[in-house]
Amino acid sequence: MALRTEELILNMGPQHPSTHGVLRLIVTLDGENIVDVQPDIGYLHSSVEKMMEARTYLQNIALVDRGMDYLSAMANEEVWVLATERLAKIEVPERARYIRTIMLELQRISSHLIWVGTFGIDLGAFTAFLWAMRERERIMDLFESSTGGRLHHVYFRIGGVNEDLPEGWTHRCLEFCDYFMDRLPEYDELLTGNPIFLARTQGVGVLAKERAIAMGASGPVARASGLDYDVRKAHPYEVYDRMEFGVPVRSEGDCFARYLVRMEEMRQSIRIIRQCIEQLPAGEIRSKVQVALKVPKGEVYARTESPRGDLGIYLVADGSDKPYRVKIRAPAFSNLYALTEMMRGWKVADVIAILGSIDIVLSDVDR
Amino acid sequence: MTQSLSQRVVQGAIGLVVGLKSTLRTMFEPKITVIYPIQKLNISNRWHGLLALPIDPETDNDKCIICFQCERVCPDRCIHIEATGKGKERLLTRFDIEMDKCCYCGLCVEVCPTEAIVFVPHYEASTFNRANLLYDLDDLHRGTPKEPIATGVVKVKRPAPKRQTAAPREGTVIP
Repeated sequence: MALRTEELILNMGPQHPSTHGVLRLIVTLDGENIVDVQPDIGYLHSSVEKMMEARTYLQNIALVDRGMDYLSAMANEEVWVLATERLAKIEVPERARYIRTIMLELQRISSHLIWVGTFGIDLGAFTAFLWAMRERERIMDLFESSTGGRLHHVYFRIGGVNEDLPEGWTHRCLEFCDYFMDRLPEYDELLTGNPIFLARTQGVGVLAKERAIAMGASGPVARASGLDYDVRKAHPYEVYDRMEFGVPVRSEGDCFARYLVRMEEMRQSIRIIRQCIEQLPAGEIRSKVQVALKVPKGEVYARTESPRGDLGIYLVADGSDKPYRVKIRAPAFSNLYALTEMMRGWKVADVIAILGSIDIVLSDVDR
Repeated sequence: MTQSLSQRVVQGAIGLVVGLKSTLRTMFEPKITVIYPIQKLNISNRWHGLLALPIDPETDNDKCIICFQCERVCPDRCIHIEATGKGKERLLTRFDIEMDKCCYCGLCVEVCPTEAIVFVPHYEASTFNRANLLYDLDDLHRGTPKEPIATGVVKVKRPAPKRQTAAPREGTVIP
């Protein structure tokens, strides 16, 4: 006689230590197997797109900093100033473009470090978190000395950056690059070769390439599934077209591939930073732009490669000093919806591993 | 292959010694943490800390020319300025910053034409009372937190708690 079984609906979150914020997952279980997952979002909705309509173009830099992805504030500033500059046809001085690229890559490393640390915690490896925070602290100090803020910088301006790099900053930045490249093999020892880590991630949560494209996944999640797409290569902005760097692509599509892609991205970011500092020209850092900038009527779409993926802003201007409408294409939002595909068929214990591997920031998902 | 108990004990002991060796090494390395309220880390010159209107020693007043630029540029609308008089008799009567709204973006410091409003390297603005987060002209001239909580070495000596003799509970028998 067969046992009668029933599906069980398990509610995870919104206050759950491993959901990286206020995310609610409605997991349908058959025994221990996941039948379906419904992410329920909106707990951190702050209506950034609407708030941006009430602020001037300059004030919005301070808003996108904290209203969107708070772990990579520079990337948010970049996409906003890029959209505005393209629409208002403002030239950015060469030096400012290099400084921006350095800052963006430092921000990518700091964001990926947080991810490595929290992913380790999700899988029970606590040491990785402390080590990642130790390295990130050096990046935060670099940010603090050049921008004045550690997490929210408000450093980029329409037509340049706020202040020039302080004395000796590039030297300290190169010191950090050397220090960081020394430290990266430690992570390999700690996580890449760790049998528990491998057992929890290898082959878990596979996302096929076709499905990754269909679900609109981007960034490291898509690249781990074999999609060779990086906005820095496909639609270069700032000075990425002059830089030599590789885009790591893995074909496995599992959690471990996502981990490897991000680890390799950090190495490539260091390469870009070193090249930028080598080529850093002297000169102006900011072109003359008035405080109450009036952007001519028109529409523009700007896209950048944030640490989480393809971050875009669609900006509609009506000729006044405030945007008429802003639409933000958040990478974490699209990656979150590939979650259902990844989780189906896996055990309930893998929920946290798979969720951790896509690196979501709920502030970016809900906006 | 099975190991005898003594072999396993030896192996376990070796593992313990290896682990404790790194503990011992870090014990004699310089500390990387600081005891926060007593020791503090250096902060950079560009630190976005509290806002202040420093007194100019030449005029014995602040440098504000009441142009309302900072009030206008503030994304959180937390600066409130009022002034009286015309021309040379123009006088600043109110300059309030609601520090609980402030997002420390630094746009007011950037647009100020006379460098009247600046960041000061203070960051301990927490108070027990929300009204204390409204910084008026006097507070901004002083340029320090209103109610400093972490003031370095703790000086206040707490009175020793009175020792209470525990009253015997009902029903207990004291021998």
